[in-house]
Amino acid sequence: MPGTPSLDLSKATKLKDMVFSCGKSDVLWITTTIQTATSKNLQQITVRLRPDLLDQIGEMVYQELQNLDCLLVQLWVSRSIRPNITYQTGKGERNMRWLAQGSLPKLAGRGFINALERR
Amino acid sequence: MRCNVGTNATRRWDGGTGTGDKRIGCGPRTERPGVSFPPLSQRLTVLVQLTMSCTLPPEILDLIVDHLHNQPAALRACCIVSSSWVPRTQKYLFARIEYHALNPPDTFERWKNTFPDPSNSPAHYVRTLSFYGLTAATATDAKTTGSWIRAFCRVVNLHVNIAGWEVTGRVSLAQLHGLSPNLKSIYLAHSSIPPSEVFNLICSFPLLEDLWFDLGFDIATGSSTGGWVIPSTSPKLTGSLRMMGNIRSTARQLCDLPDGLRFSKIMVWCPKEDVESIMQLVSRCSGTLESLSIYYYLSSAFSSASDWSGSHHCS
Repeated sequence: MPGTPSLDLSKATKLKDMVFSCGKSDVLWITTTIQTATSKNLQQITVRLRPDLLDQIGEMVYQELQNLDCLLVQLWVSRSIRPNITYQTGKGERNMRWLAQGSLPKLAGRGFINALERR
Repeated sequence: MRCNVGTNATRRWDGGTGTGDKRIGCGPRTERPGVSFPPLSQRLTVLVQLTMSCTLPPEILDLIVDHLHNQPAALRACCIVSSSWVPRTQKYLFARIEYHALNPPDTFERWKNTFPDPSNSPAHYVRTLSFYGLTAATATDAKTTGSWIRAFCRVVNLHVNIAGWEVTGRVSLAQLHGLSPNLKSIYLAHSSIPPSEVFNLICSFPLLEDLWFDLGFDIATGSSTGGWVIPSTSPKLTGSLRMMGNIRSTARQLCDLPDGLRFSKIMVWCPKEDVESIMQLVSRCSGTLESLSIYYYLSSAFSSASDWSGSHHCS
């Protein structure tokens, strides 16, 4: 969300888990919001990739996804905060998997990207 | 086969099978001189009488019925076994009640006709009470309906879905005020009830923990907040907050509650324009918040409601 201030989660000291839905205009916002989370209780961060990511994301969004990839891996390595990247099965599943693995390579390499069954 | 017939509490079998076989705790049958046994048919009659009469301790009966809690057909069958089984089966049969205002005839009227006396109706067994369309339930006969509503004094979860029904008439939530002192959770789906009326309802339940708002996608949702006198106290609200739709005005009113917010879980599905509202809510609950889920929808992607249902799976 360009121009939207990030959430300040620095005072949420009991936060254990966070879930975000991620479209192509949300990546930067999610990254900056996660960076504000300082809770020592944080255990898991889930990012659900929305299908609109498949629309021509462009170089900028691709770079933002790479930054998110680095941040989540860093949190996993340094603070054992488990990342969980999901996308829905069904229409466009193959393209979404390809996109997720291509733009979030470090997370994909560690097996943190999962297909979520549509219910 | 022998049987000691005593009081209900002590009635029990203590003999063998009559064929001389041995069982744990049963000694071999021994003929006593001078004692004559009744014929087999008579002994079977006694057996049948004993079986039909209820001699199990009430705790065991409770366990049996508890085991059937999610099998309505079996519970209905249990209900006609014995009058002593009725209360313990009704506890589950009437645990969840739904009223559908537009199902002819109105199910609330049917309830009143079936249980004409509110004081001994099974309403006090109801733990989850759902209204789908409140107009018919509350507007037809306010006085008598009020006493009927009061009979549901042990409800823990209240579901009120009046989204779309508001157009059929003025909907009032006033008669649900203080419905049950034990109420822990409210689900409210509406699109045009003034937030003041919604929050007066919320503030009438001192032990309320969980709130779930389904507010629709109309931009004008609940925009009228003028004239609301904020109550002096508000519930503790320590559970989960789920908001779906245009959350702005409702979020603002939540933040104005006098005793603050202490939600441990916040789940929001809203337009991107409402991010400020989320920031306010998170800020108010920063000391207690343990779980945060945010789902923005695109104006062109209302069909992604499955994202919302999927959220329960995720967190």
